[in-house]
Amino acid sequence: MFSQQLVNGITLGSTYALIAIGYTLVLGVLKKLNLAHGELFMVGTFAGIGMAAAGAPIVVSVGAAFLFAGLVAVAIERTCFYPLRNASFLSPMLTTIAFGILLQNVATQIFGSDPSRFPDTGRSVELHIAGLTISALQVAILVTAFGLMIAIDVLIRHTRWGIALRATSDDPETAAQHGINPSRVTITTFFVSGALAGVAGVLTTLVYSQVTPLIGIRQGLIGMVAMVIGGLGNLRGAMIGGLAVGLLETLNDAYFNAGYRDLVIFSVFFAFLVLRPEGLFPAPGGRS
Amino acid sequence: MTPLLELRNVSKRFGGLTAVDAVSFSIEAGELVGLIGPNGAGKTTLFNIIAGVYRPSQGQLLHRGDAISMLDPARIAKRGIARTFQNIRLFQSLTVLEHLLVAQTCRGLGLLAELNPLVSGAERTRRKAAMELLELVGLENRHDEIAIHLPYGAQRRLEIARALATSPELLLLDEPAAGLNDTETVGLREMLDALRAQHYTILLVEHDMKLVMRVCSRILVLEFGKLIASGAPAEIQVNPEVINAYLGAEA
Repeated sequence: MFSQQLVNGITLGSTYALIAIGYTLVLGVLKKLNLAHGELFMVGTFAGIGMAAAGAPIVVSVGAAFLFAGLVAVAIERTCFYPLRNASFLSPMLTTIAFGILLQNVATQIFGSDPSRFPDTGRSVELHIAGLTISALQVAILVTAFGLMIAIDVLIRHTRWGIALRATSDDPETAAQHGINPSRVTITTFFVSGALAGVAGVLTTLVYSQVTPLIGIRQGLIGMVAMVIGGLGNLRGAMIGGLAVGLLETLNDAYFNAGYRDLVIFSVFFAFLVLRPEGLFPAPGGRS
Repeated sequence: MTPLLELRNVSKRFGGLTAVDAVSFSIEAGELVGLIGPNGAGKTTLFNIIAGVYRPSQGQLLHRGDAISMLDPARIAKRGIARTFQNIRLFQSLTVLEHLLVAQTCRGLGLLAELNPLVSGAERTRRKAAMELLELVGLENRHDEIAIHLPYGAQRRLEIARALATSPELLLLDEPAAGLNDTETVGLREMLDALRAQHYTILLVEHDMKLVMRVCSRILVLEFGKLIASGAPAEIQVNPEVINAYLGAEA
């Protein structure tokens, strides 16, 4: 049923949006991509699974993912970006690839390369609304993901932190000369970017059941697809891009062929990059 | 009394070029000092050194007696030294009011004050102060517009308001009259008088001699990176070296 697929697609897409937001935030302040961003999704997932295995409730898993992935993101900034701030823009990006592989291998040593999962959380309550079947878990995911999206949108638009972040994105030197410490803005931006990816990891894994330490590779790329489709550098664009990719994936699986999923998604990605690189919603003021 | 700002033998070299050459002067609190000199004399370089953008190749900068030559621009701003730019540098995605809100974080409440209920009173006061600064520069009715869409003169005024929002004690104004028409220049002069009455200390780089001679209590003259004269406007106007180097070139 189509409307059921829409709900499923938006649920999945909301987690992709959380990943895409992180890329966009970092791209905004540094004009560089964090290519270990997908690994933050993975790190958050395993932090969440670790807590759950120790008997903690899901809320604690989500909190742990938020905090731990956020801190790993700060570690990425301090080791891959900050020391290389005057090097070629390629150096930190290549360094993040190395860092990402490092994280994959550390996770493999700890959790093994077999799929891990959350301990059985019991049969989820299902809600029947207007002919749609929505699990309570799905509702929790939608509420969490959209809650975070709205929160980040409000933070960026209405708090001084958000204004400082936008000012630093526009012109870091002028921002610094008005007392804004660029390092502090960058660190907090990385923390938020990692935290959102980490939460996305737990939410996704709760629904799609299992993960390996290599999950970050695809999720990281999907987040990038969402960012490009939404419009490079545009925060709300990243959110819409995430939802669009989630819908595309779900509709493809339902009406076409799940085996062609990534072929379809990455064909669309390719087409956007070649034909409409500015995405659906180009950043205002030509910012990129 | 310790001067507000003191430069001791400050030089800046770029490769073989000496842009600022062993410059020494001091500014007392409350002064409005003019800094003049032909194009390329090193005025903006000097501003960039004071603002922490450039490290001096040699020499000392002292703010209230503390050495500040090694501080980064954000720390300089936090110490109360603010500037405007010769080529206007507004943030392209920020509204007029947001320019002041972000500059206000320079001192006092942090970046997330809005979310902290304990400081909501202080936060409201701070927003009110931002609106008052906009009134001072006549932009209160345009606070919601994207700043780079403002007309040129209004952008210059916003730069001054943004600098004031950092709660500075020393203002470095880099050619604030450039590109302004006569009416706007009169407005600027009135604003400078008002700022002086409020005990701001100002270092003014400006090519509009009428303005400089009228508002400044003291004038410094730079030529080829060297300080060639310093004195009251009346003295500077008759200083033969200055006339030769600068005023004479225009006469």
